[in-house]
Amino acid sequence: MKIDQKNTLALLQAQGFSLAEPGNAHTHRLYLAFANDTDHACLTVTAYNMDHSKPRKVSERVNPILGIHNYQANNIAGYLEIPADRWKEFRRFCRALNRFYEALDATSLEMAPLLLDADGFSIASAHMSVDENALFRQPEIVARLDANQQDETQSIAILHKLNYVRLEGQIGCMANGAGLAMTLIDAIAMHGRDAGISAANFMDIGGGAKAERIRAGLDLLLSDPTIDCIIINVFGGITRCDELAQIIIHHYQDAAAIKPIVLRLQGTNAERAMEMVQSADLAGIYIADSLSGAVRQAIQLIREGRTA
Amino acid sequence: MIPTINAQTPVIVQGITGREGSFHTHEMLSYGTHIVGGVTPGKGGEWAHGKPIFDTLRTAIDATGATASVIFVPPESATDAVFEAVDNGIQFIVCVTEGVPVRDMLRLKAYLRHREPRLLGPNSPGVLVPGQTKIGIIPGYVGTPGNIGVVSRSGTLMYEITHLLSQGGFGQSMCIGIGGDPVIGVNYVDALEMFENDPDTEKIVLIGEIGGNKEIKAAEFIAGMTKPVIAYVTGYHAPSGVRMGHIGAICTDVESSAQYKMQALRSVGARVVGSIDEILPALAE
Repeated sequence: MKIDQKNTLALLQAQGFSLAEPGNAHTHRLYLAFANDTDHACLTVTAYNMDHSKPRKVSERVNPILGIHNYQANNIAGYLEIPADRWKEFRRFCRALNRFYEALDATSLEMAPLLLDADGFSIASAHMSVDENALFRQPEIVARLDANQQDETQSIAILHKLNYVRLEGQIGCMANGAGLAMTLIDAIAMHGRDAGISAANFMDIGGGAKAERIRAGLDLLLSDPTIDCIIINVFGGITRCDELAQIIIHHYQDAAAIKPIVLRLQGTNAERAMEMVQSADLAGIYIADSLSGAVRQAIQLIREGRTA
Repeated sequence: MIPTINAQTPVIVQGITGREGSFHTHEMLSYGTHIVGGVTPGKGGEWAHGKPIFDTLRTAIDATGATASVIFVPPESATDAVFEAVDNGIQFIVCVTEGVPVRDMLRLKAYLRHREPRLLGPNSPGVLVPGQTKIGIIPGYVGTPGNIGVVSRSGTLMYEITHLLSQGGFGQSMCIGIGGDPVIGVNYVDALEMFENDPDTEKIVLIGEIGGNKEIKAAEFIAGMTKPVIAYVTGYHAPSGVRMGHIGAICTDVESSAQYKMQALRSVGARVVGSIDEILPALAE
């Protein structure tokens, strides 16, 4: 999750790092970045001297348990052409930065430029990203998040922990699991191509979703005027299919203008869910027994709706 | 090397008394998994689903001889549970927990380097050996015994595809979910190596998705394999730069796109399909 420059600088300053004043005199302009290397399960520190037109770039792999070694900071200092009498300061600065990076669960931190002058290192510009999974232990960062930056739909989605991405099409989608949700979108794209039909959104309700989250997700799809039909594909696990059916039945009893909904449910209490839906006998609710079956049915319903 | 997992493998459930731990312990026992006990600090001496609960993994292992464990512990303590399992000699650890901070996983992976125990996950649905055992949360009914090895990052998509395989008469030797996170234990390559050396596996179905380069690494290994691999990569139509659900599923550059991965897999001889409906015909070829 990206943190903008203003907040990044504020966080750095709060940890005791010096920020550069505009028009600071400096002897060196440096690029210094920390980033997670998930492929090698380590941190990568990258640096170069920004005063050179074709600078030599240096990269060090940092062990996430041990942190940056002094010899690594020395190596970087050499590439940056920092004078030898400032190397000790630079080592201390790198270690402090490493601690800051760890303390805030950063996934990347980039300073361009970092300035060196007679008084020391000061940061003129910085951006960072932090791990969303770690927000539970980062109250400072959470306090700085501006929820108003998102549009209202995205805010509702975040509030209910719905993984939701708006797309361009007409079929509203809900699935439990990101891979399943993406496969639903791909299947719609494939079957709907000739009719110009595609998915309206990605929505992953996650594992073991409780009634409130399912309701919020369904409301979101039902209230979207660009959606003509909805597919819900829930497969297996701890998610209660009968709770899901209950919510849908409730909505389809009350709602004035409903969109056709195709249900493909497999898993905990799925049979009971199907019985409930069948005996409710409500218009607009359809049942499919496979993912592609659900997709084909939804496309057919839209085509019928277009010709009606 | 992933150790042998079967109906005799004794399993401890770390976090046995939580909502998920309790539900899935019941499911695993119903399936026939040889669960020998559970750990919840503070509940030692009590019982859950007929199995003894211990305060620590140390005491659990001393009493039961467990060699595998499955972790249902919240994100803030999940890696602590893994460290506990590693340090106490557990050979196969399934971490189901979703939302483990990346920093914790980087440290764990650095610690695991050059160590024996195999970690599956985090954010993993675990393994299913149809007819024998399941360690994790894979619904048992989707599988049936056979000779297809299934490996996937996505959990529910693996259930969907495994169910299709079972309905189509292609039973499975093992279904293994490596999980959706960017930093994980067992990777595609480890699973493929296991399947390549497993006399009960004849063909492999690999389920991939956008984000990261795990499928590219898999392709490098597949180049040297003798057994056929059928591959499906989901997220073909995912917009680039947008995170689709779990942390790992984001197409940040060309190389992490579905198209690039499909091409890489195709180029080493994997049979790449464009939809899940094409998997059965591909297996029948």
